Amino acid sequence: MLGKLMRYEWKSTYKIPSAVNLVLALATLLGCLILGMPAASDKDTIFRLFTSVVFYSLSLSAFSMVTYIYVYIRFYKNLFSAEGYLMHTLPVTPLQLFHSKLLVGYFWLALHTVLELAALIALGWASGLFHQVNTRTEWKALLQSTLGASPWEFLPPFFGTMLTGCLTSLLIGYVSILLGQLMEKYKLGASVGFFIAIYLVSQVATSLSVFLPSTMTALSGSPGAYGDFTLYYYRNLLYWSIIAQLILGILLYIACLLLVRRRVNLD
Amino acid sequence: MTLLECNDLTKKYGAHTALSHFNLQIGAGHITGLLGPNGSGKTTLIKLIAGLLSPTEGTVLVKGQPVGTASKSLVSYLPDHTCLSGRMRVRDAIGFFEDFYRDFSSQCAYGMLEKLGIDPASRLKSLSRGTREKVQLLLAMSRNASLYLLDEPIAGVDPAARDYILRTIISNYNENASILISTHLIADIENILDEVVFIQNGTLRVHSPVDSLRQKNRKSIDAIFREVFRC
Repeated sequence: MLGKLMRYEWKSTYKIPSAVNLVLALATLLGCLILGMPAASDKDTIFRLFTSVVFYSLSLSAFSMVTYIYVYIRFYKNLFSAEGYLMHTLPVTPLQLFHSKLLVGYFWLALHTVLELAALIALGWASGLFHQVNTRTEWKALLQSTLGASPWEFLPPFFGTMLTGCLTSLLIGYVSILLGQLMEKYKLGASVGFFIAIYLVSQVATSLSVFLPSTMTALSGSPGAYGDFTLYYYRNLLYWSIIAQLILGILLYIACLLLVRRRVNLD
Repeated sequence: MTLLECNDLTKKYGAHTALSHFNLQIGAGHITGLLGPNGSGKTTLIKLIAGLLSPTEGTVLVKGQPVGTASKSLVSYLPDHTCLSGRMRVRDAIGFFEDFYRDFSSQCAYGMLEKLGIDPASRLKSLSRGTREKVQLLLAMSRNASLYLLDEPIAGVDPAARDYILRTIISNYNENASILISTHLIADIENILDEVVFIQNGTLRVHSPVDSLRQKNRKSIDAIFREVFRC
């Protein structure tokens, strides 16, 4: 039944996230074309770079926000509004309902995150950031100096951080909606309140649990091969960030399971 | 054989008690009218049986099964409002029911669509409220369920369509199944009822076979209802 639910969830949700990702790809293409045009003057290049960066920052935030809000609204609408009358009378367990939404929602958020990173790399390429780099050795040296590690050392923790961050954010939304359902009245308003509260608490908790140990590790260790202390520090930060996000994600997932197992009360 | 059993069922919304120590048993092969004034607890009772509300106290058993995945596969529920996504096409809704309910007959559903003149390719949001309700009803009645819970099935449709809907209800359930219909439109449905349940302020007032109630009072169910619930 989980497979059927996921298929139905996919069919019902693919249009909007696909459209968002398509617009992101088109915006990236446009940005690359603008940045790739021959510059008339240095002033012109700076202006173009500035407007592209501003446009990009705003559009990336907007695209992310749209995707997240869509996934949250879908979860609420499909399970706890009029459509919930259909979904909660299906011969499936509440956990199957929850997991179908979690897996499909996470797919869209993770895909969007990967596409955003790809878009940023494409934009950097078009702006000429990597044009002086030709040989493999030069590439390695550039990445070593900017990232403090080879791509194979840097990319897994970096993507790990982004992808665990996605999962945590998704679960914060789901937990907030599920907690809102425990209220007698103003369930949607309560969900928004829970979201703000959990988001703030989780930000403070993960920041503390990331900065404190990574600072201590960086201070007690030696930058060694990384050379630069700042780069060494940020590498530690990434690893601690994954651990903190995973712990938070597991706690939120357990909270979701406990809340989902409770019997619903649809008004 | 008892198909539905509500034992000491109570549902409270904060300080308000919607259903209070409600006991009911319905056997197989009956069409039961759940009748009562607005706010008497009819929809609450149906939602408790369907598993959309959790009881404050008491239990519900469908064929001996507590409310859960097993009971939901035995119950066909028609809510009092549209619960299908407006973006869905009628044929998608049929496909959805076919996917999730083993007892669903798409042949039966398409047959009813044809009789009602509803295009399977139409999107639900493009249909009138009455037509959407008809689609939901035909989906619910195309299942070979043990218990049908119909919450106000004829409230939003014109009198001509009501006759069709009532005929559909009678002709689409088997003799081992039961139907619980909640409605205000008693005069329209009393001819198809085998028994009635009068509910008032969340408590059971009357549970009786229709014929014996009529004979005892020498009145129609509609007239008895008006007398019992006179304001």
